[in-house]
Amino acid sequence: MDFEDFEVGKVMDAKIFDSMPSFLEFIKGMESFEHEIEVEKAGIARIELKGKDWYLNVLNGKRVTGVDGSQLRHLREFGIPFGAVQVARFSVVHGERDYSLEFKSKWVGLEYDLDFERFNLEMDALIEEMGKRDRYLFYDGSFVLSFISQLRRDLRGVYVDSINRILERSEETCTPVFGFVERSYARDISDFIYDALALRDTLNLFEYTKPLPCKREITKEYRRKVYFSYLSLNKLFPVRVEFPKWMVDEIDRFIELVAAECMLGSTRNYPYVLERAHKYAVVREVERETIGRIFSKFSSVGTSFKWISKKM
Amino acid sequence: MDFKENVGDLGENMRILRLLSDDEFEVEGELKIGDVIKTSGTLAIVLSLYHEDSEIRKYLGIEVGKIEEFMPDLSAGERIAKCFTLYCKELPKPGEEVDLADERDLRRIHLEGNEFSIPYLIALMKKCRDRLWIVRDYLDRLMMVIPEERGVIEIIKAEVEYRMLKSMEI
Repeated sequence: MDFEDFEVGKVMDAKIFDSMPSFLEFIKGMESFEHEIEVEKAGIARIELKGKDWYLNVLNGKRVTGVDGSQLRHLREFGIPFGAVQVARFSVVHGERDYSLEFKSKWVGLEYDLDFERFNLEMDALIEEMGKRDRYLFYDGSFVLSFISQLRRDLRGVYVDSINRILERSEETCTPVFGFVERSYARDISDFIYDALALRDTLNLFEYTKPLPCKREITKEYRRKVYFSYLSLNKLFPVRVEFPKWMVDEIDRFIELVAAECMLGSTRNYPYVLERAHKYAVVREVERETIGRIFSKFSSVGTSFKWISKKM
Repeated sequence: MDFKENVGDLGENMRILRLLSDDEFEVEGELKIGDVIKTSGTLAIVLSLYHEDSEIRKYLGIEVGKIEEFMPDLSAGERIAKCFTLYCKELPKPGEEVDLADERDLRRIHLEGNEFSIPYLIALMKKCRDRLWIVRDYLDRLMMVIPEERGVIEIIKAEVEYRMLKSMEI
């Protein structure tokens, strides 16, 4: 097949692998694309690094919490029309040898949306921490849920409710909450290419863009505004940090904390508390199969023959 | 049908991590020294414990003292138990599930052929040369599990205690 007219979204009469050279050319072209960004409007700030252990000094005595979830796909092949969601909430008081790990989980029937149930449980786990003194909360993902515009109306409504709950509660209790997006493909300030790609030559290490409001369509349904900054922690791809509007006035202090938490992570680019929350939350495929087998033992419906044949 | 009896406690899953030799292997799980465990073809006793440090290794950018203060969950780590085989019909496989052995298991391996024997005793004592108390405590347990052989086990225990004192040059 001729790939000269390669285009993302176009159906090809070939295997994916055969189109790889053309796809790589397309990606290279995207990276060198002339672009305009609005960042000049907001300005760029820099974190002041005081000494080798600056990040430990920033974190010392602070209670930081990370929440992440995972899900157990519906166990149809075992004759069980249920799945489950599981959320880990990991908190650490840095510098004080103190930490806690809590879980929340829920079984979910086929008629419910697992992605939403997981998201909602993650929001609940974060909201529960709000109102307590001196908490800094991290969520692994974006608060700007553009993908829900394609969902059915009722599902879209409950997603928006969840977001409204967390943004409002954060403001009421003055509890900082960060939506951390390590690889953001958002296009809020750049015209044609992704913001993070456009900013990678603009931001030097430990520089960040001053907060800008997210104006995407979906945020019109939010009762509170979501702001974002891009923070450079490596030379390849700045991370995106989202937060409610009330945090904007103190953003320098907050961004410094985000950067410090990332410095503690194993890759120095991702918050330590999220790294740990993810590790604890994950339901591995082997665990899913174990759970399924246990169910098969107790259930009279039995395991799907299609599944057995794939495993043989 | 009783769930726990059939599938055990899911939260306490213990697994074979790796084989160290034909009579030693490591188990990932919350065990303590002296615990006797079983796999599909093996009975073994826990002789030592350590924490898996692979996670800490990921964070070596920060000095070790600070890890405990700033990342306290890392120092909790995964507990690894080094086990010595008491009875082996088939070598365990990495990933294989491990359970605590019960009284029936212990009776079975010591009373095979209706005759009491402790075939692994010398090897176990050699393995525990510096920590013979593990053997002594284990013999105490055997006395409770196989009360009809208490006399013989007490003689062996006395020998173990003598060696313990001797090693301390009292």
